[in-house]
Formats: sequence, C-alpha cells, structure tokens
Amino acid sequence: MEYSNHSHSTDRESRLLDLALATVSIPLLFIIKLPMLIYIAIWALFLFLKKSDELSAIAIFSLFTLGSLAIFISLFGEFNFAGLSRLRLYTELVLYILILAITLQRAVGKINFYLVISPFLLLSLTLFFYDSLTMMAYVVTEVFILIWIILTHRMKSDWYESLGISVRLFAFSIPWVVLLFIFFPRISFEHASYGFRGDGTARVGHDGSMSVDDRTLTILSDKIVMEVWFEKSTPPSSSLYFRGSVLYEKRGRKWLPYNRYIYSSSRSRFANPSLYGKIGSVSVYRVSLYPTHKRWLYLLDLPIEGPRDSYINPDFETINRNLISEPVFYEATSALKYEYGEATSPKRLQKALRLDRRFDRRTIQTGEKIASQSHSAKEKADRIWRFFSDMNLTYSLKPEGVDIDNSSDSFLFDIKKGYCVHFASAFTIMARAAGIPARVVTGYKGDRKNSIDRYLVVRERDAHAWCELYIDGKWLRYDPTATASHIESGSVEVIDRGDGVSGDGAGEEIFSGVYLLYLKYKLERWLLHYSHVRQVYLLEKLRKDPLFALYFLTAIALIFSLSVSIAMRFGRPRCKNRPVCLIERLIKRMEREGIYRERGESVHSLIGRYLSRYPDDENLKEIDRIYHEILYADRDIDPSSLKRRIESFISHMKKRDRG
Amino acid sequence: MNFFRRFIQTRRRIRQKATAFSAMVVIALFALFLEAYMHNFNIVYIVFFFVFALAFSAGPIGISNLSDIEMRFVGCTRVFAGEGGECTVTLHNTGRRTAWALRLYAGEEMVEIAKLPPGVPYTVTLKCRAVSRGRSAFSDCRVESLFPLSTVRFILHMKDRCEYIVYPEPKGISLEAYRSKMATGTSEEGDFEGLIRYDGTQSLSRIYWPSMVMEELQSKRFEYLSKSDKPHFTLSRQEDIEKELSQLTLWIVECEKIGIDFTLEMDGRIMKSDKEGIDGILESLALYR
Repeated sequence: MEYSNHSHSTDRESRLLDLALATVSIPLLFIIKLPMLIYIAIWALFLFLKKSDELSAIAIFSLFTLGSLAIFISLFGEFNFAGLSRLRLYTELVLYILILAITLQRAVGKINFYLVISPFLLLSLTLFFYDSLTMMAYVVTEVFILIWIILTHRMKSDWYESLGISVRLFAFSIPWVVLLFIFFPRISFEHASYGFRGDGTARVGHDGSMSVDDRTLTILSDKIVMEVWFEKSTPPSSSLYFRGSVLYEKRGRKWLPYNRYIYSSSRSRFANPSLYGKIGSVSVYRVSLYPTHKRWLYLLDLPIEGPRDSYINPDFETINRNLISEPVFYEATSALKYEYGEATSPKRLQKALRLDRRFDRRTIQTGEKIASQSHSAKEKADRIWRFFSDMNLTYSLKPEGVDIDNSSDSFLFDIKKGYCVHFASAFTIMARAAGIPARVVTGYKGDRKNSIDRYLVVRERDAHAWCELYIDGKWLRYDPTATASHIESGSVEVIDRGDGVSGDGAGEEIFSGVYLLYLKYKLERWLLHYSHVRQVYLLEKLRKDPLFALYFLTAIALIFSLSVSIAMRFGRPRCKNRPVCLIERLIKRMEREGIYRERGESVHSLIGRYLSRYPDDENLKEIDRIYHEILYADRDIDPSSLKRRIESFISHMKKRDRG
Repeated sequence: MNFFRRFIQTRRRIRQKATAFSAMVVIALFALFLEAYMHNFNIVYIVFFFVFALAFSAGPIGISNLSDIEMRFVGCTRVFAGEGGECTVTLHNTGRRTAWALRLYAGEEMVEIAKLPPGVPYTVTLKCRAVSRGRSAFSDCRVESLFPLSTVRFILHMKDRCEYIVYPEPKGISLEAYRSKMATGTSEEGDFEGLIRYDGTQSLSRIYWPSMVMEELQSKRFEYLSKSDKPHFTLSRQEDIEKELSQLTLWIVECEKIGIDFTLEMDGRIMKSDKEGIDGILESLALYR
C-alpha cells in the first residue's frame, strides 16, 4: 500500500485527497446539521490560515473540542436510548464522528491509510440518506471522479492524461454493471424505509375536510401528489376520480366526515363485498404517492383492494395505518363500473339528509321546490343538475364576496362564481333539501391529458370535490362543477389540469411536461425500484416474447459496442507529430498488403520495398519525397499535401483490391 | 482475434498478485452487498456493481499496460568484490500507448518510472555490490506496476538473467612498489623521469610532496616503469589463492591505468593483455577455481 504514512504528505496528494473528499461531501452538506456545518467552515478556515505543517497539540485539541461540541449540539435532544435503535440517527452519529476524525487527521497534515479510504466511507454513508434518481446520477458521477482521482495519483500524470484512462476503465465497466444490475439475483425484501427520502414536503389539496369560503383557491401548485401506472390502459377521464374522504356534515364553513375520527371497525384492505353490488371494468394500478402527512390513500372509485397496512371503510375511504410522511408505493384494485349503497346504514343515510335550515335558505327552498315538482329521486337529481346548468355559473378560482354563512346561496344566486368546493357544497345541500341523501366526496380528479401510455400524473391542482347522491338504493356520483357555463380567464389553466370541467389549454406544453415525468417515472421504476418481482417479470418476458428478447439482446449489444468504441476512442494514442501520424495510416495499409515494417526500418526503406513490388507507383514516390521534406527541410511545409497524397494512395489501393 | 490471442499470450507472461487494496475492495464489496441486499437499495447495488466491474476491468488494462514492454539487461561496469558497480537495463515500450506507473526491481534495487512513452528506449542504471568474486546476478529482475487501481500488482519478469561477473578485489602491493622493490634488489630502479598524477595506487614514497601546494597531487615516475618490456604475472597457487587473485587483479588494473601490456600465466596457460583483453583476463581471474 502506498501512501505517505508517518510523513507529511506532498501537496499533490493532499490536493487529490481534498478533491475526493469534496466530491463525496457535497450530498452530505444537505444532510448534516448546522453546528456541524459551522464546525466544518471553521476547520476549513483554520486550514487556510495555518502557516506551518506542524500543528500544536493545543490547536488539535481545540479542533477536537469544537467538533465534539458540534456533534453534541447537532444531536442534542434526539439522542436517547430509544434513539439508539433508530438507524438514521445512528448513521448520522457515525457520519459526524467520521467527519470529526477526517478533519482532525487532515489538520495534522499526515495522509494515513484511514484518510485515504475516508472518501469511500463517506460515500457509503451517503447511500443511507438518499434514494432518488438525482442521487443515483450523482453517485455514478462520484464513482467516475474517484476513479479519475485514483488514476491521476497512480499515474502521476496531468488530469487530461488520466481522464483518458478513466473513461476507458469506466466504459469497460458499464456493460458489466448493466448486466449485473439486470441479472444479479435479488430477493424480495422490501425497499428500505430508512434515510431521507428526498422530497418530504407535504402535498396539499386534501385534508379530510372541506372549507367553503371566499378565499382564493391557493392550490395552484404543480407539485406531484401521485403517479399512477395502470396494468392495462389508462381509464377515460370520466373514471379518474381518486377517492379521498367522504363528508356528511356542514358545520359553519366546513364540511366534515361522518366520524370525527377516521378509524373504523373495518380493518380489512379489501372492501366489504356486502357493501357493493355488481362491479365491472376492474382496474389494477400502481401508485407512487408523495408525502401528504395524512393517512388517506387515494384509490379510484370504487376501491376494491387496497395495499397492505391499509383498510377500506364503509364509505370506501382507504386509510393507511401510518402517516404518509415519505413516498409510498402501492398497488390497488378498483372497479370502474359499480353499484353500491344498498347496505348503507339508515343512520348514515339520515346523516346524509341533515340540513341546517338556518343557513342557505334560498338553496334549501329551491331544493324543496324541485322536490315538489318531481316524482322520483332520479328526476329530482336531474332537475337540480339542470337548475345548476341554467344558473349560468362561472368557474372561478377567486369567488370574492361569498357570504360565509350562506355560501351556497351566495354562490348560486348572488355572485354565481366559485370552484369545485362551492359547486359540490351547493349541490349537496340542494339535493338534501329535495329529500335525496347526499354527501360530498373529496379527493383528486385525474385527466388523461396528464397521461402517457399507462402513466398518469396527479398534481396538487387536481384536488377536487364532487357529490354522491343516494338514488334508488345506490350512491351515484354527480360532479356539479361540470355544470359551469363559463370559466374565468385566470382559472383556465387550472381547469385544463383537472377539476372536472374542460377548457382550452396549452396541450403541447402539458404533454412535454408529462413526457418528462413519464421518463422519470420509468427510470425510477426500472432503476430505483427494480426488484425481485421486476426481475422475474423481465426474465419471463425474455423467455416468452422472442421479439422482446431480440430487442433486449440488441440493446445489450449496443451498450457493449458503445462502451468498447468509447474505450477505443479514449485509448487511442494522441498524435503529436502530424506527418508521422499520417504516414502511420500508410504503413497500416501496407501491412494489409503483407508488407510489414521491420524494427528500426526507415519509412524510406519501407516505401522502397513496396516500390520494388509496384515500381510504377508515382504517387508513393511523391509521398516519400514530401514526407522527408516535411521532416527535414528547413522551411515549414504544410502537411495537407501529404495527407491528400496518402488518402489518394489508400483509395487507389482499395480500388485495386476490389478490382 | 489477433488482439485476443496476443492478450492471452501476454496474460501468461504477466503475473498478477493481489495487494492490500484488493482486500479493501473485497471488504467494501461485502459491506455494500449486505447493505444492498438487505434493503433492496438499488443505488447501493449500482455502487456495488461498479466496484466489482471496475476491479474486474482493471485487470486487462493493467496487463495491456505491461504487455508491450521489452526489458534488456545491457551489462555492468567492472564490478570488483567488495566494491560497487553499476549495471544498465533498458526498457523499451514497443506498443502504441504509454505505459504508466512502472517500477523496475533488480534485487534490492528499485527504480520508479512514472511513464514510458512508446518507441523511446529508457535506460536505467542500477547499483550492484558483491562480496566475493565469481558470477553474480540480481536476484529477480522485473517490472511491476500497480496501474490502474492499485488492487493488483502486475509483474513482468525479465527474460534475461541479470547476471554479471564480479572480479576479485584489487588488493595487495602496488605494481610500482613491487617493481621498485624488485629493481632495488637488482639496483635497476633507474632515473627519476618525470611527474604523473597521483591516483592512490602508487607508494607514498613516490609522492612528489611539493605538488601538495598545487591543486593536483603528483607522484614521481621512474624510468623503469616505462620500459617496453611487458610485465609477466604468474598465478603460482602457492599462497592463499584469493589473496593471489586479488594481487594480480590490482596489478592488471594498474597496468591498464599506465597503459602497458602484460602477460598472465595461469595453470600453464599464458594470456596476453593485448590479445585476450583486460576484461577477458579479469574474467578468468574472477571465475578461477
């Protein structure tokens, strides 16, 4: 092993080591806590300012004390006996101790074995904290940079020279990495759930209740709430209702669920079959749900099977056992055609009829009027729908002036502006007034515009509210937002991305954005979340589908040939003497003719031997003359004439071979 | 095809030895494997595969780094027992690519060659030292390289044996003293002829002390030393043979220094300096049994 043990390292070695440490430390800077960052900054300043290589014991001790203090403050309050069992905290502690050890050793100025391997230790610790495509790309880059640094050290060369070898080495290893990644046997352990999962910001749009007020809708973010991959095909937009929570009671400006607490006696991840009747068009899909810091999982109407650790309650809400504070990936099954509601308890139906007659009187009166004119619940519902359509309502994200206490009256009869929440709330109240049990459902409304192939992306701005009316013993979905006659100009963009009504929008822009997301999703599925299941699926497909196998083998062959060509390209010696390099081509061509240059033989002699076989080759004689003139004449001669002659000679030889 | 055939041939020529860094690689692979396998972490898997693939790919690159190197043991200066000498080895990179991070080992000697460009012969001088006369050799002449990743030591042994001859230690009475003694015994020392540079082999009594004040110390040259008659040395084998060989070596070196021919009689065989050459005669003494 070679390193300057027990001696002060050279500047070059120190610089290379610093570079390696800096490369692997970049992702760590986003993890480590402020006191440690301050300590690192002080250490860096200290190194910058120190004048001599020798460091006093006091200086080392001061750094040690400062570092230890930084570790203590960083983990203060988090570290206890229970904390010891938490892997993330433990890893963080190990990381801080390693940082302290590296900084102290680096301050001493001696490069020992432990300092040499420290970049690799830091790299392996980084892997505990991140799990994203960005990190994957960075890790591959890190590996390349570390190889480059090792080679620069080993070769004692400049960066450019070692770059060529690094690229060669890296290019050679790529096909093996690809093959190993695909075929290395995996076992079906679950994906790890430790570490920082990248973006942990809570997604908004649904929180289990619904506020009906006059505030501008602020859920305008493009932040992705979930990505969905359908096993077969993406259902039509009219079926893309992802059910969140079901709300029964309007209290003030808020709609609340049947139970204040979302817990249910049902603990099954399967919907209770007694609660639904006929079902059809069953769709199986995988969802990547980003952190919401809530417990709802969003399944398409009507959820039939939820993921493990979840349960489906009588309102067909799917509840996760734990808060979703990091991305979760689940598979679910829903029936897109369904009938349900016969088994709804009378208590629940009663609650779905409850009205607070102190408020929204005009809406209630209208509902009662419609009820008196209608014979059946279906007819009542149709009349209410028509009423909404005739009211010339405008979809607006800024429904200013809504009377908070009488929001439905205000929305329907006064300002006539609102968004999904106002539509759903007013429709439900009117339906109840007409004697139809009704409830509000909130969740997300997907749109096929946000879909490619079998991929669908659902964003915060796709948050939506609709209604369910209990008609003839079944709950039927009504989305009253679709009754809007106009869309306010500032709201078009939002509507384009969901919310139940259609508008004109920048379709191509959406498509390109979705396409990138689709690519990212595909990469994540096949790179980050490649597992035993996918491996089995891939091998099965290779076995059963010859065309796929052919594509697959072609892709692998392409990767191999690309790697080899990159390696060859960077392995080619650099031409420093142009005439000599030009004549090399000629010599190689002659070798094909069976005329080999002997060791120490001059170019002139070689050409002479060739000419003895083909004495009339005037071009070659001229090449001989120009070549030696370029090499030995006092004046500068442009080698392009030599190049032209050689090319002409080679093409002449090729023609002769073909002839 | 040619490339692979050549590679396989080269691979046979080059020995590979794992270094301590390869142990580190194995440990790293094991740790990464555990982390990746237990938690199904594909980023860790990728690092794991990269470490494996890089270590694997480093082999052929390391072999091709040494594949075109030709080593030749050129020879040594005169090496006398007890004294040192210098030997020369040339390295020639016959390939098209620069060879990197080479170390030439010859016995205890080690010379580092950071890079060996193609087509340019590189001469390395090695110090040698032997205690006794006869044939000697550098124990193991080889080129080693840790290129590219330090995980494997690639070793290319030299085809030639790095052998050289160690002449007997030149020791004993100087030729001048001996001949002076002989001349005194026969009253034939003759006249003082002039001054020559003092090189340490002459008797102290011959030093021309006034030259002390000059930059160069000189000694007196007597007429008898430039006489045209060739000294004739005989290996009598009467005394300690090693002592006798050392004495003869000293006289031969002195004769060469002052440029006079001589003859040496060894076991009835007479060798002439102008015919066999000094090196030939010294070799006979070195290898005398």
